[in-house]
Amino acid sequence: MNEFLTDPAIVGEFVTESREHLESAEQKLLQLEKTPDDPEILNDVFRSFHTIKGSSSFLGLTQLTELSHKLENVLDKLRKKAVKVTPEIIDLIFKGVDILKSFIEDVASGEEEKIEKITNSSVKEVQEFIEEINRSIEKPENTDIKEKAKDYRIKKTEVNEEEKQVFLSAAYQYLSTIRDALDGLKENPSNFDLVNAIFRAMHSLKSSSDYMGFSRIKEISRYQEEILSRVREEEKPVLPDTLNLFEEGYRLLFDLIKIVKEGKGNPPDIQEFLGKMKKLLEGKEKISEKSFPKNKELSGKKEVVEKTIRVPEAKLDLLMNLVSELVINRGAFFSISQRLDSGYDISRLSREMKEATQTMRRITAELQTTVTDLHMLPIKTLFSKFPRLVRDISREKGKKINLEISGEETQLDKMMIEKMSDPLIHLIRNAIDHGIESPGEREKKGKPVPGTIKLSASQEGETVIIQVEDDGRGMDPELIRQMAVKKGIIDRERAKLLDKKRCLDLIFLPGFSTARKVTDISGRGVGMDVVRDAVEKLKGEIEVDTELNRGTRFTIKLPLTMAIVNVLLIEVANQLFALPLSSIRETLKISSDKINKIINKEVTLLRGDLLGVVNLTDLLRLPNNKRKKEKIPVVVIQSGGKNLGLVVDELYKQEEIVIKPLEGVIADTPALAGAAILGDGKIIPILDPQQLIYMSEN
Amino acid sequence: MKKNILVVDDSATIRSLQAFILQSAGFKVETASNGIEALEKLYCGNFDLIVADINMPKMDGLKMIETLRKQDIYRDLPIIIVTSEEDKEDREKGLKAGANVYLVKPTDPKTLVMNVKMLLDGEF
Repeated sequence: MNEFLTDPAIVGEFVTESREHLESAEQKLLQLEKTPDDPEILNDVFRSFHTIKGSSSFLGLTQLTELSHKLENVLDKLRKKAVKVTPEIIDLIFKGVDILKSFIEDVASGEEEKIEKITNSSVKEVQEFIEEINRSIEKPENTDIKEKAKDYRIKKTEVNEEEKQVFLSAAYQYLSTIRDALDGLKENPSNFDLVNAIFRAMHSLKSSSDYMGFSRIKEISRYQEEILSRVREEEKPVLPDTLNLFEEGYRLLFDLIKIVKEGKGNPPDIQEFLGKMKKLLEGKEKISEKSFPKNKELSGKKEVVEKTIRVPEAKLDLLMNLVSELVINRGAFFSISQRLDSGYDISRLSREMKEATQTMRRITAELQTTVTDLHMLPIKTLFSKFPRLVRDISREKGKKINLEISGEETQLDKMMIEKMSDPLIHLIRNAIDHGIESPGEREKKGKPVPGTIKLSASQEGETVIIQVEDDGRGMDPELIRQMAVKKGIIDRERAKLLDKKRCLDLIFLPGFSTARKVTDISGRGVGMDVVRDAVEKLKGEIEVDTELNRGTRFTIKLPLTMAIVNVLLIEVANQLFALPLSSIRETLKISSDKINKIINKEVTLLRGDLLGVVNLTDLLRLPNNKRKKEKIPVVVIQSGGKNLGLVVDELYKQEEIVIKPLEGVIADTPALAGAAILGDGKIIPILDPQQLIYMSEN
Repeated sequence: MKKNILVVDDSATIRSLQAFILQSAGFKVETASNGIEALEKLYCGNFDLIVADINMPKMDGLKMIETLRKQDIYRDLPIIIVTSEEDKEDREKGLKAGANVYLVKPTDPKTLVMNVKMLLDGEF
């Protein structure tokens, strides 16, 4: 394996850069379909492929190089107008982009097997794709000599006699340099001048054979050069085994050059030799006396590319400044504590202590904002993949669809952006597949033929709202009710009691799908229940609004960030609990006679509306130490468009806390969202409002 | 970017001749008339390849190459010797000193240019 491929920093940089280029290429290609003659766009896409070609060749990722080279060629042809921009060509380029993407992800995975595939000299998938491209753009190969010289795989069909003589004369000199140096190394394996001499000659031979298009010679010298560069790095005497390999390489090179000279003869099989070289490079065998740690890492544990995030320098500077302030502040505390020991003027110390604490508070607050901010990304990184998705599916479904995206700049926690990808893909697929009608149907209904899907994001307070809205056929609550009963998701009696909104909620239950048949788009085993689960795992909510023949809108509400939340502390059964402030509508104190029982449920009237009320102690099945009070504290919580009044024993203050996930046996406790540690060390369970409402209903 | 070549020869004619050939082939060329001058130019400039003679006053080509090869940054710099010494022995000395290729004068322009291109990794 190429030496750079073992450096996680370089590989990480490569992966990030390539992903960015591919994403940009996808967006540009979509634009291209609308403005096929825009030279700027063509140049941009060309450049993206060109960059990937360059950097992948540097890493020895042969297949990536070859594929991006081919795509670069296609773009060049489009640029020169030798080939016209058609949806078919764009399809083809997209297909190439997809293969590139999967390779990049393979590289990112750090799995040796996958990466090795990409460094191979031939992969079926890529060959087939290249042939497909060749078929569709009539002139098969660029015959420019320079191109040929660069791409060693393309064999020169005829070798210019004059050039051949120049090559041979130089090649024999390289060989003689190698011969002498090899002999010298046998006597003194620590003579690095000789290692350098072979390296130079090998390098010269590599680039010369590359120039001539002699791929076998190039491959052999390329590998030997790489091994030599390792030997140089290690600065340890060359092992006899390694020398023997060089000897074998020398003989092969000699034979191959002889064949060039005589213009006849059967080229020897170099695969076995190349295999040995590869093995050596991958560090399974030692090259010089002591193998260096890089090799060990490579043969042992795989290095997975670290997840990276790009940080603006200014933010990093700010962090650095804050940390230095913190260190200075630490000094202040230290000095105070020392003087406390020696019994100093208490009032003065207390003033200093207050100041130091104030400073500490400011610094930590700023640190908190800055670090949280680092974890935020514009939702654009997620939305940007949807134009491509919509294009592909609508083409496949024969539907015309405009995708309108807004609020791309809305910031969201990076982790949430990643987790929201699949649910949004599913919602959009559903919208295209089931929501938007066929062009014929739309025409009959008097709707504009192209359907519209709106994807939007916005921030409201501590919540980010993502909406997916279509102007399709909408959903019929009645039909949903019948389907749910038919599928046995709910029994007939209970179904009858459901209002329109709750009927719609049925689609989020496992096993529900209104699609009459499973299509390959939406029916991939992911239902709305999976979408809801994903959203709820992020402490978010999903709601659906629909109107027949007007369309459907899904609204996803997510907390801005997962880690830090504002909570209200409450007490029931002598135990403190926290409720997220984002789901609290209000807190009340009502007198006990205002709570009435209607059919087993306790309710109260709040500004003329019925509000279900439940005692949190009972709901959580905690021991009830009934102390009847005149004024009962009630917290009104809100989730999924439903309200519930929670009767608690005591209301305390608001607090900003860091949520820690629950682990082990208590992780599955339904009503708990997590736990937090308060400033005084107390551990507080955080209640999950959505679960509480659900529990109160069942 | 154009590749930068340093031509080292004590003969002014050869210098301008080689410079002309290489410039016509699309390279940027600077010249020096002996080893010392070449080292001075090398240390302040950025070169991709050297074309050098052997017999020169002050410091000859072999000594110059040996000096360069001792320094890490010039360890792999491609060097072509173009000389009128055509003995086998001289050629061996040249290669041993660290030259990549040894060409014998008179070198025809095509051979020179092609050797340069072959050593420049196909990037020109």
